[in-house]
Amino acid sequence: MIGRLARVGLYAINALTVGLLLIPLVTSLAVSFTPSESVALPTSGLSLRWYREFFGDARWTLALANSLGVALLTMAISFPIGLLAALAIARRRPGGEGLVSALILLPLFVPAVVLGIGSLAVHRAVGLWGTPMSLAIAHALWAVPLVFVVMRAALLGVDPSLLEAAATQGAGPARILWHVTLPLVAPSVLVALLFAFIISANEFVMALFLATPSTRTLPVVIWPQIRYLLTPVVAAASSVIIVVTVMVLAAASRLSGIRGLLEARS
Amino acid sequence: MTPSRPRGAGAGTAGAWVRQNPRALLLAPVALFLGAFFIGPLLAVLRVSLAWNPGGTGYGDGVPFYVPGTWTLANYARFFGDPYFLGLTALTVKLGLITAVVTTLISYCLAWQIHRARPAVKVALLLVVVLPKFTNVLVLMYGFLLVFGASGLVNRALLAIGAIAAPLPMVYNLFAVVLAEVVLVLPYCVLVLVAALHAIDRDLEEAARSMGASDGQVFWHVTLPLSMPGVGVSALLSFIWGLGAFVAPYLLGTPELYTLAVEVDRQTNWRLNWAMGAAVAMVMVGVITALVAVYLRTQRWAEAPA
Repeated sequence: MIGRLARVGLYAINALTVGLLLIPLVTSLAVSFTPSESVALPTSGLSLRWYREFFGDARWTLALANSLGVALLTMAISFPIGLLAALAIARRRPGGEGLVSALILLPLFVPAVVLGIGSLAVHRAVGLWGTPMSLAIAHALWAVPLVFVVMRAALLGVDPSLLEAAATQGAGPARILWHVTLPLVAPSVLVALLFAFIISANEFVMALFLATPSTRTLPVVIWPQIRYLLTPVVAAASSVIIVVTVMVLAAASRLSGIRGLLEARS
Repeated sequence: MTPSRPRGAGAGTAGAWVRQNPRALLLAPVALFLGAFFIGPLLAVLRVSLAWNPGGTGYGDGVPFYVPGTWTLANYARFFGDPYFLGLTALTVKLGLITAVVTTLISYCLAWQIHRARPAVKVALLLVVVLPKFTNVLVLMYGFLLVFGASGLVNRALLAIGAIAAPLPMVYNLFAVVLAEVVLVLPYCVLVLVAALHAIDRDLEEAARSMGASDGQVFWHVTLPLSMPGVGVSALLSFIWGLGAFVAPYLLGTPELYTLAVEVDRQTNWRLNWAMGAAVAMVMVGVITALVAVYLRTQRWAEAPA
């Protein structure tokens, strides 16, 4: 019966882990609806007062607009770059592709503070500093590898004879890409775009280094508040981030099927 | 990576298409991008770490936060001669190590259950695992404070049922920092380990069972050894990301738990001593490079006898 005992222990550990993953999220969502002045669970009814405060404050709405703008820019930069790299790798000769892939993935393994301070120096030198593009380029350092991984996996699954058929009919490379390859991997295109969007909308450390008063994203505005004055408006701001993320996720899973999302992820 | 694609299929993906479009052309954008905005910044950090810090400058006056054109090892000399910085390094490595061990253990438990679960349960569990990765790290930390703080959910519940007389100190200590780091790193580790368990040939476990091995024996002698490559990757990933810990020590720790990453921020953004901040950042890069080198060594060592 030791086996059964071990199994029960395992389930208990996993239940705790799942709780650890979910409870902080759910709690901060719940607190955003509190009617009370201080950070507390809404025990005496629900209120939207902290959301009114959020959307009534130009500092928060500017930050929300910045977050969305930077995330869209990150998508626009990282998708073509990652896609082209994946097209190069997901092809014929296996020689050297391990090394190239490793190099493309490398930025994921460099701490955000290192990328932040380095990007700050470079972006200041070339005059990018202070623009939304500066943050988007930094976020693309992590988005490009993700787009690359997703698209590489997708392209390897494309039946090569379809591309050949198009080629023998006289289609050029751009037309094959647009009319054959991309439609075949449409769900993965969506997943790749989604990853780029989400990694940017949620990235905080690089944004902290690169943001200027006019380019502060939501996390950068939340940061000093969470550290010094904990008010429920922070919970409301957090919830706005969660809601935007969930909306993007839902749109993507609707269009591509949740299954494709998970397959691309693992 | 797919090292063993059928040869005929490979030639096809290419077609005429490929011959007109050399690989170099497709890789040019990523090379230019990473060259300018990844290698460039890394070289900039290295260069700045080797410059003098003029001291006492601020934003807006046009004075750079290091003296361009100067070369010195003073920042590194200061780092390696100062017990404060050496202590930070030791603490950071310790935190990375604890994160790696705890995360990999917990992730393995969860990955094993996901691996064995029915398809519907599998999808649900995987969603739960990746959900925090789609959430802002500050949101998570904020939730942590609400749940584990002195007047947080857990303490209030324990007080209410009379299990404790005074709130347990669950934030602003090592416990909180490790727990938060685990949440931040765990999703990647679980995915890596689920993939590793999936890759194991089911027949091997069946064979062991048919020869009379108990479930426990099958796990210890077949499943666990065969999943060790995944465990290695998981440990390396969580160690590297644990080393880079910034937000968790800052928000859930005390100044005694500030890591190298926090020091980079303090030197750069608070003291405006870019040169020193860059030197600390380079030490982080050095530690991670050493780790990866050790990992590759053990890989080679593990493969050699086979």
